[in-house]
Amino acid sequence: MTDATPEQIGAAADKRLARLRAGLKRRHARETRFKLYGQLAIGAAVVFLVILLARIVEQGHTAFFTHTVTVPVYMDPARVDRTYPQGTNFEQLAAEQQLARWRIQDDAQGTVSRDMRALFSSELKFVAADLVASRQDVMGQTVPIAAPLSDDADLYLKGEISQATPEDQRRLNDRQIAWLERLKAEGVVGSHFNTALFTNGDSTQPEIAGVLGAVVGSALMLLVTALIAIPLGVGAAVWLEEFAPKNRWTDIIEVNINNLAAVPSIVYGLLGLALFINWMHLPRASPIVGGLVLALMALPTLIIATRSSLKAVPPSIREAALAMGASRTQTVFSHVLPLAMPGVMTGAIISMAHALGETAPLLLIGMVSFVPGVPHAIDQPVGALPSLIYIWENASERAFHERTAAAILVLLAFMVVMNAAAIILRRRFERRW
Amino acid sequence: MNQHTVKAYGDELNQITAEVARMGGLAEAQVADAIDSVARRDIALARAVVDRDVKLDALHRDIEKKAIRLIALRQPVASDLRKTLGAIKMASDLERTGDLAKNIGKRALILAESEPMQPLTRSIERMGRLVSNRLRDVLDAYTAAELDRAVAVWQTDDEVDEHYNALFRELLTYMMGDPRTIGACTHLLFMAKNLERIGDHATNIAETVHYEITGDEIMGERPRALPTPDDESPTPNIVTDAN
Amino acid sequence: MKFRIFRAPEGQNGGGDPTERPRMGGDVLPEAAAARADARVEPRMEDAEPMTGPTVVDSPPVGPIKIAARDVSVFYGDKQALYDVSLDIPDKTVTAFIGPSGCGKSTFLRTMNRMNDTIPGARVTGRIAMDDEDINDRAIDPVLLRARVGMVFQRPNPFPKSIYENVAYGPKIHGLVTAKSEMDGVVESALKRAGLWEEVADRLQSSAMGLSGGQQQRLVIARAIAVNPEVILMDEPCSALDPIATARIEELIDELRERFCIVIVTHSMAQAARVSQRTAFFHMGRLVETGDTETIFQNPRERRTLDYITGRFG
Repeated sequence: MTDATPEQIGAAADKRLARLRAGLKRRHARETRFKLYGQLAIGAAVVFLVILLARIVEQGHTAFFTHTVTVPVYMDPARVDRTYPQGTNFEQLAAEQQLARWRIQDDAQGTVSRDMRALFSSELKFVAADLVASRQDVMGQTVPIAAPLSDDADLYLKGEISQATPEDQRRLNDRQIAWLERLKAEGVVGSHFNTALFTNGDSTQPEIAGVLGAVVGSALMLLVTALIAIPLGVGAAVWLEEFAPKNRWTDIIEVNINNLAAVPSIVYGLLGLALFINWMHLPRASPIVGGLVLALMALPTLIIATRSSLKAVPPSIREAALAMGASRTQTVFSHVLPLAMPGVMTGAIISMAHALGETAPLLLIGMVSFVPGVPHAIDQPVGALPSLIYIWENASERAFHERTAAAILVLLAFMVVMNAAAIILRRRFERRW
Repeated sequence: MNQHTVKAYGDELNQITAEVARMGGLAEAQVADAIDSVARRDIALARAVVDRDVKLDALHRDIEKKAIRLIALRQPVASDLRKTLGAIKMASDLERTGDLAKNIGKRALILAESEPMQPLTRSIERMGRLVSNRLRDVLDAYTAAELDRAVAVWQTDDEVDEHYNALFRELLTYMMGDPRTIGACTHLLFMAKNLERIGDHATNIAETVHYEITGDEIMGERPRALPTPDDESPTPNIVTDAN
Repeated sequence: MKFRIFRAPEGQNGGGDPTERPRMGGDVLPEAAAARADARVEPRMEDAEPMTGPTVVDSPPVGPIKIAARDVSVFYGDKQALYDVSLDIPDKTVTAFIGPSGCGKSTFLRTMNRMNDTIPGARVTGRIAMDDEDINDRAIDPVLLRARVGMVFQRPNPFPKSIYENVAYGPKIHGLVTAKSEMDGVVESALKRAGLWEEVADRLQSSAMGLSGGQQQRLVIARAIAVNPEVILMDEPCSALDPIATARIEELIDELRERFCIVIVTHSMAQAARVSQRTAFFHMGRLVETGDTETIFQNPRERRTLDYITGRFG
């Protein structure tokens, strides 16, 4: 090695520095560009998300409040049967009395009263009947009955039906609209939060249709899914990860589980139809069948998630336990599983949340039909939130349009709650090693 | 021998042994020159021997310093440890040898001013050559790590003692014969004693070399030649103990 | 003669012919130049041929033998990691296994509590007898064996539970202690013997993960001794610790050897020299030499042992 003079060394160092600097600018530029791409990507994703939510909220927020009208009804003993109030046509009664108050003559065919009647919901009948049944003293009295307006009247008051459209294309004719305005001017129309949406089951009448039935149905199904999928999934994962011998058979099982996780959910629906309904004759559209199908669907994801959280437990813990003389089972259940619990729980809740939102398999097992009321048994047909949304979207009444969006919001809220629960539970049980 | 993985360690160890070898060469030269200065009555040489002794002392101190540093920093074990300890011991022996050679040189300076005493100085010379050769042999054994040579040196320790006893008798006879020579003979006696001590140091070095190579002590008593009743002069017993 | 192997290459010890007059003035050390001139590339210990002869035993162990291994070989699948190791490990002493990385000392350590069973594809042949019982016999339950043979690992691995629960784990699962008051006593005594009691007596219920590395390692030792094993195996217990923590563990080992048979694998020669009474040197899957620590570190008989402990290889 020849000795370099100090000047030569200095010059070489300078050249090197210059080269570094030149490359540096390029590298910084590339980094900035890359960061920009990342930010753009995230921005685009966020924008799409915001647009989606905004659209849904815009369409659905009106469903959360509804208009009611308070009309005085004279309980004419001649027409109201106290012993059988449900038989009375309270709508007709109220309509006639309202027309009388406004001194509007009904024509011979009753089209006027029919138009007036169309402004009231059928719920009025039930409210009045309940009142008559519960209080004796209303007979012969004029009592105010507060009941929801019909779905079309409600839509008009929310601005969905406008007078600009030609009358024959509108659901409310000019006369009805004028009456509504008059009622509004009299101050008997109020708008309040639509509790019916959350307390009623499904109905053909949009104004009294609610999601409760579907929510309870979904919850029952989820319960069945959880009870089947979680023990099976966690158990299978524990066996595969900790106890199974590493040979060809377990490799095949592992490959198959990974593949099953990618199978389209409608295939599970077909499986459910063929196996549970046609062969095992389980009741169609019941939570049992729904739960079984969703459990099968959630099982692969659950197994994979559980296995990876088991893998994440450091082997030093296992070694320590084994070296202390713990058996394999003791090691897994007192040390490995508790440490893997946050991951297992997250995996379980996420796969449950996923199962909650699946629609295709439910359609195939028959949950697409109309189910009134709130279910209470797991072998009776129920509705589920996703299929409810599907049904309402396809319904003809205009009012279901906003209610579909509202139901979507309810479903999203459900998801958010479940994911939040996952995060909270995970934080609580997380242990640091 | 394979190299130490840490090169610096091997280098430090080699430095110590090299310095010991150098010190050995210097000590050997001192002994040889001191004997020469006596035999040839060379005042300049004697003075040179006396002056050069400081170098030996400096080397001794340096070797000790290096050895302590090596022990502190490298924690040597087994053969390396024996080598380091051996170096310390040998440096000490060689420094003493140098001092004894200086002493001979000093006495040579004094002797040079008085009458030459040929037969006696020739005896001293003979003893000196023997001792010098033994020293050279044992230092060769150290450098070449030859166990046989070191053991051979160790086993012939009695030769030096015999020379010493013979010289002792000779000097006594001389002193009894001519009292004017007592002064010079006493110096010669001391020189002989010094040479005998140098011989013992050579034996020490042989033991150290053996330990360094094998890790064991040389077995057995050192051979000695104690004075026989024939050595006694008409004057009453002057018993010297060999060590 | 045998010891010619220690001859230094020519010119390395300077000075040349000793009868030459010394040169005045500064001497250039002659061996520096000479060494470069005839520098040979020495083969690395890792590339060396494995020895084929029997193990050299400098001196047989004194006292009752706790573990006697005969012709133990370990295979991982097709690869052989240990070749016919035969070794006697005496009771109530510390035996150290030294050797370069990958020489099989940890593998052999793990055969003694059958931890190799947990590795799929591992196979052990030969006989390992503890108190004259072959521990690889089918009749012996490894779970029970591990109650008699405890293990401490390289990185402290306390369970992520409280300190109390860590120490109580062994006695609990083996059913040695049932009453709570008795368990308190066992935990206290184990922590005291491990030298950790004063530091944690007031926070037994706090998490074990909050302790420092040295404290965690002592906790792990307390956990191991809580079941009163007969043998304690230690796989490089101090390699993750700072010098002071290391010194405390070494002191602890010294105290423990009055009650237990201790086997320690260590990378540090100095530690093996400080802590053990018997030493075994492994190289490439074979046991090369074994004997009293004093002898091995002062005057080993095998060339490879000497090369390893003086740092001339690996």
